[in-house]
Formats: sequence, structure tokens, C-alpha cells
Amino acid sequence: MQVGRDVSSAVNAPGANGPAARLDRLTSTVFGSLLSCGLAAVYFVLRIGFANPVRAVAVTLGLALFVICIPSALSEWLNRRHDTPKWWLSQSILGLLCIALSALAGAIAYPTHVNLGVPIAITGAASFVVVLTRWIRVSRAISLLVVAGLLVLFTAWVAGIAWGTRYKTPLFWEQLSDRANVHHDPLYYASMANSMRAYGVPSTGLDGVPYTPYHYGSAWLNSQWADLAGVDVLTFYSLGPTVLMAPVFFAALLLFAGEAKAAWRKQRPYEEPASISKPIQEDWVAWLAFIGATIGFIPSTALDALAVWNRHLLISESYLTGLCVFVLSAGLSVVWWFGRKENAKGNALFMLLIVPFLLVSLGFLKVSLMLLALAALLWTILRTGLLRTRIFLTGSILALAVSAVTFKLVSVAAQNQGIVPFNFMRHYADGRWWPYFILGHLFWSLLYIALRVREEKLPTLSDLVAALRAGRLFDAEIVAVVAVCGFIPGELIDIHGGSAVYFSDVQRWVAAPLVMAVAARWIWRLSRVDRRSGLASIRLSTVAVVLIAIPVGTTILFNAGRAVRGAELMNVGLRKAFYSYAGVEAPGAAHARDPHVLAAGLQKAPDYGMISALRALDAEPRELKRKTLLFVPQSDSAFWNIFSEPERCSFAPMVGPATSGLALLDGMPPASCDRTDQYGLTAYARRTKPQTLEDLTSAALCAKARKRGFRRVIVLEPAGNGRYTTPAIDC
Amino acid sequence: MVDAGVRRFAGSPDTRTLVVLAGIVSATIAAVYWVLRIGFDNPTGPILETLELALFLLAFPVVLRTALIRAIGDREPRWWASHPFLWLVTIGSTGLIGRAVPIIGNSAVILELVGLVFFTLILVTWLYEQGLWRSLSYIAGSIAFGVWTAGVVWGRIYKNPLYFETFIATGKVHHDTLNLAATGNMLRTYHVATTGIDGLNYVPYHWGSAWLFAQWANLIGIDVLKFYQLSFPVIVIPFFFGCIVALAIFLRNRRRDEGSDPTRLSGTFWAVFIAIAVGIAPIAGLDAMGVWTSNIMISESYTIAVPAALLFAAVVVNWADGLSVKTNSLAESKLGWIDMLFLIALIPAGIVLLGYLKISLMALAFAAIVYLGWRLRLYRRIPFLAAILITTVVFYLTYKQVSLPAHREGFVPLDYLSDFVPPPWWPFFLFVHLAWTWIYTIYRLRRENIHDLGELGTAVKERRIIDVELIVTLALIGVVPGLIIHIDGGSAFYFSDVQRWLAGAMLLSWIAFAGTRLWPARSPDAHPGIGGWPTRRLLTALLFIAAVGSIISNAVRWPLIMLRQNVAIREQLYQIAGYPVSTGRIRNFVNLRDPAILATGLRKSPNYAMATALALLQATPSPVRRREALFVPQSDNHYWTSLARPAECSFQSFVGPALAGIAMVDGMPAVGCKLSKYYGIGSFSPRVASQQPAETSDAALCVRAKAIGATRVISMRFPGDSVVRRDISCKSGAT
Repeated sequence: MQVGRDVSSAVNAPGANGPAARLDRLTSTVFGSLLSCGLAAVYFVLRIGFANPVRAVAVTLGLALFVICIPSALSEWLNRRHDTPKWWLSQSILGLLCIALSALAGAIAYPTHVNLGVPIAITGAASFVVVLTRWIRVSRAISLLVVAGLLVLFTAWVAGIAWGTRYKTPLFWEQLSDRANVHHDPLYYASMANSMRAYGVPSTGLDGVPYTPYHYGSAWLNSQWADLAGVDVLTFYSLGPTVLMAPVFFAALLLFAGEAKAAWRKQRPYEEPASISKPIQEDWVAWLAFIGATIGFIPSTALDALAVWNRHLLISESYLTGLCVFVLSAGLSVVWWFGRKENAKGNALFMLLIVPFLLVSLGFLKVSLMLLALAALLWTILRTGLLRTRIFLTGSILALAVSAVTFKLVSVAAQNQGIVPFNFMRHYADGRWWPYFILGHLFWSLLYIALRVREEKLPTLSDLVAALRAGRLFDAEIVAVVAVCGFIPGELIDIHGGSAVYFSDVQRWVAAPLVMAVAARWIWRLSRVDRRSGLASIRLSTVAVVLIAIPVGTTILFNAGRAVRGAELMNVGLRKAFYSYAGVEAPGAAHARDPHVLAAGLQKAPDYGMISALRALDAEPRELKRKTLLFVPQSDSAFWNIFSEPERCSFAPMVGPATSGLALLDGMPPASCDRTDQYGLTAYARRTKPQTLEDLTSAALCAKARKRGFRRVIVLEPAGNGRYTTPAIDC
Repeated sequence: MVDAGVRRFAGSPDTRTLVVLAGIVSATIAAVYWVLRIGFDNPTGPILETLELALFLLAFPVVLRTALIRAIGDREPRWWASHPFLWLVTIGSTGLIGRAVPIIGNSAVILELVGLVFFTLILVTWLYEQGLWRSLSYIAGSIAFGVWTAGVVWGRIYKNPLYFETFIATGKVHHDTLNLAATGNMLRTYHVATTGIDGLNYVPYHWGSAWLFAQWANLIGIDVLKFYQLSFPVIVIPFFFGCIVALAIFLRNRRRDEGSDPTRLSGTFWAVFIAIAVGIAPIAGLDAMGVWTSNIMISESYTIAVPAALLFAAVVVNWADGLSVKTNSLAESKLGWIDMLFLIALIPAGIVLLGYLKISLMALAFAAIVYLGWRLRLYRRIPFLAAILITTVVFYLTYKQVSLPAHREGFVPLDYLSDFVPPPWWPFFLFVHLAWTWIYTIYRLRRENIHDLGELGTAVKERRIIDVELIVTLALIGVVPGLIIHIDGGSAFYFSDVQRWLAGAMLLSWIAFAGTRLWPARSPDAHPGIGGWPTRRLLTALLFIAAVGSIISNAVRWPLIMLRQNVAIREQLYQIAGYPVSTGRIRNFVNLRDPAILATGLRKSPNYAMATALALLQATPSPVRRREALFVPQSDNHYWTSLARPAECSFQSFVGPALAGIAMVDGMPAVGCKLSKYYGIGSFSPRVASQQPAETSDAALCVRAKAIGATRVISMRFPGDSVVRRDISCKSGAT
């Protein structure tokens, strides 16, 4: 996209808020809303036979509808008289605002005893009805069918991925009770969220509540939303990110594509209408790009070989939540950039308030997103000469300052494990595919840049340089900046646990929507030839596309099907295990849903007694919790060896804070445990010797509790036969 | 300066390049063989003789063609003077000469001398015209390619310069090679196509390559098992790749505009050639699509049948070109008696010979003939129709002779996919497995400016893209067997992979000199300096880096495996000799070449006495061996368990015929052994009861020996480290 002089001339051009642009926004809203409905239904179905209160699911769904639909309805109404939507009235910023408002509503729910969850949900549902009705009225029947089909596909895929791993599952509590066959990451996040909820301190709460630097924004958000939904944090971790944030993300992605497309319409009024006015819902190439960037065109095993991890988006809720904000910010930036006026007060508001706020938010949600957003911002300011303007200079300095402070607060030193060239590629890409790593990993960015360069007709490097200087490829530059800045950390530094992907993967979510925005234009150009009628006029390239579409379509279905199969196997497997514990032969997969049998089986699950005792503690009033710590003696092997894999001994203590909402006292793993330095564990002193009998006395416990600022200790004590008691010691 | 008279006999520049590069590949493979055997019995004689025979096969047809062209002129295409035909004739002739060795003695030295002189002649001419840097880069490239091919052929357990030693030390060798060596030996000794595991029952199999190799083994004077390890790679692999290039050159020369096109093969040509051979996708990705880069060198029948088929195709095209010169239409051409002979004798004979080399090649060649007969409407003329009918009949008869009944296992949908392609990749199978066919198709359609179905239909009607039709047809036909029937051991690959080499050669023929460039050229009026570089170079560079990286990664993989295996067997022998080393590191090779220690290790190895005693039997002159039979009693546990890989009991019987070159009597595996259906084992009666003492009596053995025309039975046992041999004369009782 052009900047500088070209931009100012195009600002008032029509198209940015025309019918197609409005329809694109509506489509993004409806897609996200219906996806949320579908996922909520799947969640509910997957819990049939177990305790399955409708309220939590309904409120979470309502929250999603609120965040997705209210901004759409409001923005359309507020901008109804504007050719170019005002950025402060744009759907993107209203979306961000709704996320913040819903979190605020959650934050006041417990202190004020006013839970706005249901009213918000009703508001969301009402706005959804309005938006849906309007969308149906302005859409063509074929588009409705296409979107409906895509929704089925995406619902299946998202549900399969999100609930087909051990990270999240609608039966998380039940799975935890059955030999803790879950991943420890959710326990870590839930511990953080519970500590913030009960003690107001971001901490894993393994031995008191020392501050744990981490991008704990999503944990905080989830704990607020959990309050609105009226469930514990651990339950919400399997429900909220999938039913609420995943649809918001996909809606934001479509919205960003729509805003970019609207900007192009404004930028290139001279383009053929057929190539540029087509809304996204009728643009099959855009949908193809959307599916390709998310589900993938090639088998997921091959994507994994190139370290393109489609699952991570839905597994890491901090990344997902951060991306929601990031992509909405990108959409907002497009609207602001193409709608701004020089020396306007709006620029000051945007640069001095919105940008710092968004950067800080991103930093607390996912530090990688903040850094990449900052890089894109600074590149924009530097490249366009805006640094000479006082507001932008001040805004840039402010952005740098708040980013630096946020980085200090949230970055985990232990994650940086030193300079190791090509570390991410060497450890996470299949060695045999290394030569193709850059091409595959940065595919969407390279595709966008290559096609834009081609579109601008730049035969030589001189022409390319001239185009860059003229700002004709500024959009591609931004993509390149995000791609390069995101790529470098993982190839330079050893970032623990493959987290470098949260840098290098971001470019995909910038480039893919941009590809969606311009895909129709490129395809239209390719097909712009003299045509004859009839079968003979079918182009061979069309035949080739159709032929290629067959395996690609099959693969998309296969990728989605594999995910669904994983979730189904996990759900059915657990049900069968409970039937087995209950001594009842399991019926077919679809029939293992007898509440009595499942309840009986759950109660006989190996860790049920301990987990239910811990879970009961979460119901204690937060005022009481605030002065209480939980103590689990080292002798309780059921607790300390809850994970069957010895190498996971570091994570066993997290079960306590995650399930009870209480921080532990003296909760470090045994001295024999090879404790990890990750997951904020360096905030605690390592256990150097075995716990003695003296350590277990009430006096000793109270002394330790008082030292950490607490006055009450609850002890988790085995009562035999798999049962537990939780006597409290008042210090 | 090279004398013009010398150059007159050294072929055209492109064929000279072909001969020189193939010769260097051959020499490189021979050198690698020698290096890998350092420290073992390693006479240079057989290696040099093999190399000289390879050079003869490469150089002689070129010199012969040049001489013929000088004699008769080259205004019209003459198939019998074409390079492909002369090459085929040379191959066949050496086979016949080898067959005559037992009768007239070994005159191979003449061939070898001729090969050396002709190759030197071509090499000198080539060096003179290439210039220093071009020559050096070609030579370096050929050496690298030779090392890669050596790695592929010796990086698996099928073939190995230390195959015999590996069998002695560990018994962990692949049975395929024993089966083929047994067949070759039986053809060499008894002139019967059989594995000789229990008499000389005919085994229907495409044993043409085994026959040819047995004759070449006669020429070189080595045993068949050694021929498979040494001579096959040195002679046949350069022949394989040489023929791809030869076909490309031949096809290109049909279209070449004399005087306007350069005669040097372009860099793009070689880049695409390497991409076809080595693969631009990682081996893991190729394997996932059932595109096996190593199999072309594992299956020696395939390695020789593909180039033979390509040369045969070139001969047929050359013949058709000669006919069409005046009428521009094969269907309306005037047929002379030589043409009639070609039609009704040579084409069917070619099909038969292909059937004996590799049944899949015969089937595809037959399909090509039928398709072209239909598309060019040749069936309307009686000579062509007669040729098609005769070809059909001989195809059927040959099929009956060479097709193993056990391989006809009925309808099994998607069998090849199920067995060898991971399910997520199934949707892409046809695209990637037949990639070179599609690339060729797209290239040709673009070249013909065909953009839509209408233009495609017109081009088909006008027969402008008959080459595309043919390759697509063959590709689809080739892929069908693996998708509908079960062919043991992934052999469906030998149907579906053929298109890669044909399409590859056809593609190379178009880009050979046509100015096709992978690296975008700068425009003449572009800005000077780096600013004038085409923007596309950036993207091309990215793709190049990936592709070159992948090619290098693929190329080093097999040689490294080959070296590791070599080091592993050396370490094993050192261990047995009492010098334990176990590093597994390639660089340890230099420390593991003490002849005394390796010899001690071999002597102390479990199969040493048995293997050497059996191999010694090959020293007996062939006419004498023909009157002998080998017997190893079932009680000899050592022999019947000498192969150490799991579930090998079926293949133990091959050891005797493969090592000794003598057929066994009563040599079927024990009763409890679950016999393989394949490898021709079904041609022999399975053992239904344990061997009884009466069956091992001299009289009983002589009855069996006489049934195959033998007059002496060599009964051998291998208790412990010793060998107990007893010769039973079937003329006068026990001796």
C-alpha cells in the first residue's frame, strides 16, 4: 500500500465504508458468532453424562457474542453517515473495548456481588440476532451456504484441536482425577490466575505468593471471565479460550482482511470493480487463503516438519488471546492510517493513548506480540518520515518506554537460554526439511511479498528500490519487518520450549489476511483474457486448479478430521475408563453417557478423592483465602507423584494452587526432583533436604506461613481409602 | 591440438560429453569400491577389467556411429546407424561374446583394450574443446555424482563391496542378492533359468539381466556374486544415467536447427538432470510419496531395463523419422523390406527382450505401441496391424515365461498406497509420484501456447502433442498396477517410476540447448550494475538455496550410510579378531584397515569356513561344474541358519547356488520353515517331512542328481569351523 503523498490523495476516495466493506465486516462478525455457537454446542455435547451446567456455557457464549457482535452493530450504526469509518468508531477498537469492558465486569463481580455475566450474554445474543438478520438479508444464498459449510469445518477443526490434546478438554477435571492424564501448562496458568484472583499477585503460588514475571494478562482475563461465567478458573481454561477467544480471533482475522480490502478499494479506485468490489464472503480465493493459513493445505505432519504449528494457536491461550488483540490492533491501524488527517487531534489520541495502551496490553498477553507490534510501529514512523512530527516523535518515545517497562515486568529471564544459532530450526524442524524451512515457515509472508512485487511490475532491483522509496510496497515492508523480526529470535537465541514460534508465527497472521484482501484482484488479473464460450473456453489453469483442489480439499478435511478424531478418542476413552471403574461394560462410543455410571466411575478414579478435596477448597471466600496457604506433606505420594512421568515432578505442586485456588506452603518438589528452571520456579528456593517431622508441626507451619504474611494453613491429609481431609490451622 | 582426423571418429560434442562424464562416473564408482575394500583381499585386476568393459560399452557405439556416418552420410535418419541402436547392439554383443567364453576362451582383453583406447580418444578430444574450467567443473561434478551413486548402491544391504565378508562375519545380508546370484550362476553353469535350490526347475522370472550379467562375469573372469557387488555398479549405473542423457540428446537433435543452436549442454540441463536423479525434495518427502531414489540402483534388472527401453524407444522413433521424411506421416509412409523386418521382427523382439529384462518395461512398451498404433491410425495399414498383432502374441507368450505365478495375487485396491505411502499424503500421491510427467506436460503445453480446453483439443486432434499424450498415458497406466493389485515388495514402483525417466529425458531434450534458463537473465537494456538484476532473481535465489540444500542433503545421505556400514563391518571383524573398537565414526575408517587383523577377524567369523569352501567350488571349470550337484544335509545346522536376519529360513537354500555356482539337490528348507511365495520358491516342491537317513544315502542323492544331468554329488557339512566334504560319483557309487 502506498504511503505519504499517495495516501493523502486517497483518503477521501470512496469504498472504505461502501456496501462491500460493510458486508465484509458483517461476515467477520457472523462467522465468529456462529463459530462460537457451534463450539459451545460441542462443549456441551462432550460433557453430556457429567455435571453439565448450562449457565457457564451460555454466559461464555454470550460473552463471545458481546465481544464480536456489539462492536459490529455499534460501529455500523455510528459510521452510517461516513464514507470512511472513523477509527475511534471502528469495529476493531470497539472490539478491543468490549474485551476490556467484559474483563472489567468480571473484575467487579466478586467485590460488588453484582455479576453482569447474564446481562452481558443477553446483550450479546440480542446484538447477534440483529447482525445475523441483517447479514442474511444482504447476502446471496450461495454465500450463506459457503459460509455455513466453512463454519461446520471450522467448528470441527477448532473443537478437535483445542479439545483433542491434553492441554484443554471439556472433561479436564475428570481427566485430572484419572491419573492426572493432562498437560501441566493449564495447571501453571490456572495457578497464576488463581493467585491473582485470591491474593491479587501474579504468582504460581508454590511457596507463598512471590511475584512471578510472566505475560500473565491472559490468566488475569480468564480469571475475570471465569467469575462472570460463575465457574472455577480451571474449568474456564478449557471452556473460555475455545468458545470465547478462538471465535473472536477468527472474526478479528476476517475483520482485518476486510479492513485491508476496504483500504485497497480506497487506494485503487481505478481497479476493475469486478476485481476489487467483491466482498470476502463471495471471494473463494480469500476463503482458500483463510483455510490454508489456519487448517493448512498440506498434511499437518508436513507442517510440523517445517515447524508450522497450527495447533499452537488453539493450545496456547496466551498466544490466542494476545493474537486477538494483535489482529484487532492491526485492523484498527489500517482504519486509522487510511482515515487519519494530518495534524489532527485524533493522531495524538491514537499515538499517545491508544498505542501505548495496546502495547502494554500485548506485552502482558504475549511479550512476543508487543515486541513485533513495536517493531512494525517504529518502522512505520521511521519510513514515512513521521518522526519529524512532534506527536509521532513523542508517541514513539512513549511506545518505547512503556514497552521497555512492560518487558521488564513480564519477561522471564530463564526463557532466554543463550545465543544458539539456528536453535529453533535445529530443534523443532525436521532436519531433512531444513533447506525448505524459511520457505515453509514464512510461506505466507513470502507469498504476499512476492505477489505484491509482481503486481507492481518491478522487473529489476532498481525498480524495486524505487518502488520501496516511493512507498508503493509499504504493506509488504510491514509484513517483511514482522517476518524478519519474528524470525530472528528463534534462530539466534535458545528460547525454552519452542516458544520462539510465538515470534516467528506472528507474520502468518499479518500476511494471510492481507493475502485474503488482495487475492481476488490477482486472480482476476490472471483470468483477464479473451474468452470463448462453452467447455472449450475453460482455461487449463482452471483445470489445474480444480485438479489441485481435490487433494488440497481432501487434506483440509483430513487435517480437520484428524483433529476431531483426537478429541473424540480422548473423550470416549475417558468415558470408557469410568465405565470400567464403575464395573459396567462400556457401550458404543456414542452411548457411554449414563450419568450414574459415569459419576460412580469418576468417584472411583485414582485421584478423585484428592482432587475433589482440593477443588472443594476453591469455594472458600476469597477474604479467607487471602490469608490462607495450603500445605501438602511430602509424604503424600499421591499428590507429589500425581504425574506418572518422573520427569514431570516439577509440575506436581501446581496441582494444588490450580485446583484449590490456594497458594502452597513449603510446596517445592522433593529434593530428588530435577527441578526445571522454567514456569517461574526460580522464584522459589529449591528444596535441598527431605522434609522432617519437625517441619510438619503446626508451630513450624505457622511460623513459615507468618513469615510469608499469612495467618492460616490448611493441611491436605489422606484419610485412607483414597479420601482426604483438609483441617485448617489458625495461626 | 587434437588432430581433426582424430576428432572425426570421436562423435559429436554432446555425445563426447556424455561418454566422458559416464566414464568418469564409472571410474569413480570403481575407485570407491577399491577404497572400501582396503585392508581386505583387493586385487585391482577385476576392478580395472570391469572399468575397461564399462568404457568399451560407452565409447565403442560412439566411435562406431561416427565411422558409419562418415561412410554413409547422415542426411537421412537411419535407425541402424543411430547411437541408441549401436549402443544396444554393443550391449547385446558383449553378452554373446561372454556366452562364448567357455567355448572359445576369454578374449575380453581385446574389448577392454579397445574400450580404453576409444575412451581415451574421446576424452582427449573432449578436453581439448571444453577448456580448463569447464572440464574441471564437469569432472568434479561427475566424481561427486559417482560418489553419490556409489553411496546409493552400497548404502543399502542389497549390495556391498564387503558383501561376502559381511555374510562371513554376521550373516546379515539381503537375500535378494543371493537369489539373483543363484539365478545368474545357474544360467552360467547349466544354462537354465532357475535358482537351483532343488534341481533345475525353470523359474518364470525376468532373468534377462541375470543372464547378461553372467556373461559379463565370464568376460571379466569373476564370480556372479562379486559381479553384482562390483561390476553391476561400475558398468550399469553409468549406462543408466548415460542413456537418460543420450535419449535427451537424441530427441533434441531431431528438432535441432543446425547452425543456430549451440552444441553444448546447458547448465540448466544438468541442474534439471540432477534434480530428477537426486531429488529436490528431501528423501523423507520423496519416500512419503513412494518416490524411491535408491530403488533404481537396488534393482539391477530395473537399472538395465530402463535404459534399454529408452534406447529401444529412441531406435523406434529414429526408424519412424526415417519413414516420415518424405510423407511427413508415418501412416502414409512407404515401407521397404527393411522397414517390414523392423516392424514385424525387431519391434516384437524388442518387446520380448524387455520382458526378459523387466516385465514392467515390457508392459509399458507394449502399451505405448498400442496407444501410438491407435492414435496415429497405423492399424489401418496391414504391416502395422500385423506388427501390433505379432507384438500382442509375443507379449502374451513372454509374459507367461517371465511372470512368476506367485506375483499374481489378485485385486487389492490401493495396495501400493496402503503399504508405502502414509495416509495423509494419499491425496497428493498422483501429483508428486508422477511429478516429472506433469512438469513435462505443463512445459510442453506452455511451449505450444495452449491455454484452454479448446486449444488443447485442437492440439490433440492435430497430433501436435502426441509426446505429451504418450507420457501421460504411460504414467497413468504405470500407476494402475500398484493401485489395483498387490505386487510383492513394492515392485509396483517399477511400473509407476518409469515415467520419471522417460519424462525426464523428454524434458531434458527440450531444455538441452533451447536457451531455457532457471536463473533469470538480465534484460539487455537494464540498468548497469546490481540494480539491473531481475527482481525475480531474489525469489529464484531463495528457491535455489532450498533446492540446492536439499539436493546436497540427499546426496550426502547415502555415501555417509555406505561409509558407516563399511566401518561397522570392519569394527565387527576387529572385535572378532580381539581388537575391540566400537565408535561407529566414519573417520575411524583409516584406523581399521590392517590386513592381518581383518583377515584374522574373517577367519574367526562364524561363516568363514563354510563360505570359502562353497566359493572354492566355483574354481572348478564350468563344463565340470555342469555335471555336479551340491548337497547339504538338513542336519547341518550351521548352513541352514547362516543368514542372520529374522525369518530368513526360506532363503537359506540360495546360499549354496549363489556361492558355489552349483545347483543343490534336496535343498529345500526344513519342514517347519514358512516358505516365501516369491523368489521362485514355488517352482520347487516344498519339503513335507523331515529329511530321513534314506534320503541322504548316496543312491538317493544320485537319483536326484541324475534328474538334472549331474554325475557327481558334492555333499558338504560344516560342523563348527570345519568343512566335511564328500564327493559321490553317480557313475560308480560312493567314493
